[in-house]
Amino acid sequence: MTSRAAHRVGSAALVLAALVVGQAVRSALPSEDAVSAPFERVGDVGEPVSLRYATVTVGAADGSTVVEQLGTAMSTTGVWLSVPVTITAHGEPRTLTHAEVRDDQGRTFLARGTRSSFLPGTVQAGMTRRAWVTVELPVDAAAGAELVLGLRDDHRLDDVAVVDLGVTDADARRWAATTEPLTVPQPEDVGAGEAR
Amino acid sequence: MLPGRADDGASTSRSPYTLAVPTPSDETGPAVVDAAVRRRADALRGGRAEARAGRRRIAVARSAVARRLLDRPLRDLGAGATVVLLASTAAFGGLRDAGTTVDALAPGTALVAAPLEVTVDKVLWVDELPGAYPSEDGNRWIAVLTTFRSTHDATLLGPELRPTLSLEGVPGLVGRPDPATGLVGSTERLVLTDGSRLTPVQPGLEHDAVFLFEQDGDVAPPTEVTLVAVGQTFRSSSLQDLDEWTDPAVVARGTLPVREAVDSTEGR
Repeated sequence: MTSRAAHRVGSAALVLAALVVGQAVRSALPSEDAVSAPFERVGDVGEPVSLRYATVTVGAADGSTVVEQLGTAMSTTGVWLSVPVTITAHGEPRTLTHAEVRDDQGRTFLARGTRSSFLPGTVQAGMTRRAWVTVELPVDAAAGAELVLGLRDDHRLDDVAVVDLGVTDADARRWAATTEPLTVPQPEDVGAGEAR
Repeated sequence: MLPGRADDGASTSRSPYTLAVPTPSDETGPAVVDAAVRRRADALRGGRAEARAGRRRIAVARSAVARRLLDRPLRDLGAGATVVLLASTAAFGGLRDAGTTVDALAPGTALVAAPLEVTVDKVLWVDELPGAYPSEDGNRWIAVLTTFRSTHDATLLGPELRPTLSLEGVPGLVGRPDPATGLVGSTERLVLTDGSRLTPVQPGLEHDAVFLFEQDGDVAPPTEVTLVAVGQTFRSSSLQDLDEWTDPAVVARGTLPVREAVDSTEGR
């Protein structure tokens, strides 16, 4: 092999090696998801959680196998969770659209659509509104579940509230045996909150 | 000594800064300069000639390489390049697996059409169904009764379910065929127990549900249909920074009889 041919083979090998090393480095570095993760503000039931855009307070959950909303009754083979949430908007009108339940198995249950919902509407700046998160879950997802609230589905690099709902296995079994309809109220303003 | 100035240093009519062109008739400095210039020019010409010769040699060498390569069958070059390319993919995770075989779809047999595990019960047609609204009066519904469960670990909002059970070759379907498969997906999905729209579909919950396909009322109702189960893959989008269910592929196919529903609450 002439020196020129050897030079070319060596160059090609170095280019390939650089690509492999680059891929290895990229795999070893923190993922883009980790870098752009949301800021989780953790709280308990009944405790105000201060977010960039609002203060939210999550109330005690209730459950049943039948839920009634807007005059329509729906049944489930799992359980319905209904959770009251109080929202005080900061600085400007806010419409929180993201509510999901996370269970201890890593599954997520989004409140969006007909059978699971979260529709608080727009909360005016400085005002406080109460709305309900309604989520359909399998029975084994209820105990240990957390409620995550955010301004929008894409909450990278933004505040989200994470609240342990305090649901026990006994609660879940009791709700799974309940056929009494759980009536979900409509959102309502409950007064002026603290200005921020 | 500068050209244009007399040897005795006396000034001439020409500016002391004028550079006269040396001529062969000059007996002193210009002649020496002329010879030097000629030698320099000769050297340059020689160098240029050598450079041209060098470039010709390089061109010949390159064309020889080209001729050598092109003398070989193109398929050899293509095969070689392909081997190099495939070998290099090993450093980056390799290539994705090809599709799977198509199973027979039969009533009562559970099958996996990701993101669902589904069991088909029967197929009916009905003119009216509470909670379902056709796009035109007079259209009917072809209803596929099923039991299914989501195998995904996050909520499914509905569009992912549309292709899961599809019809093939049924005339008069209102839904548009999927560009990838040519099959017509379901128009709507309802929960059988309460008639609510089945959205969202949460992980781990089993549903008795009906997949509805709208058919033109001017077309005769079918006596049998070819029902196709389509599975999808959950992966990162090639174009956007998000994960989605995509790459539809047929996983099962079967021909099922169709009969008219006795009434709008026909079920199990």
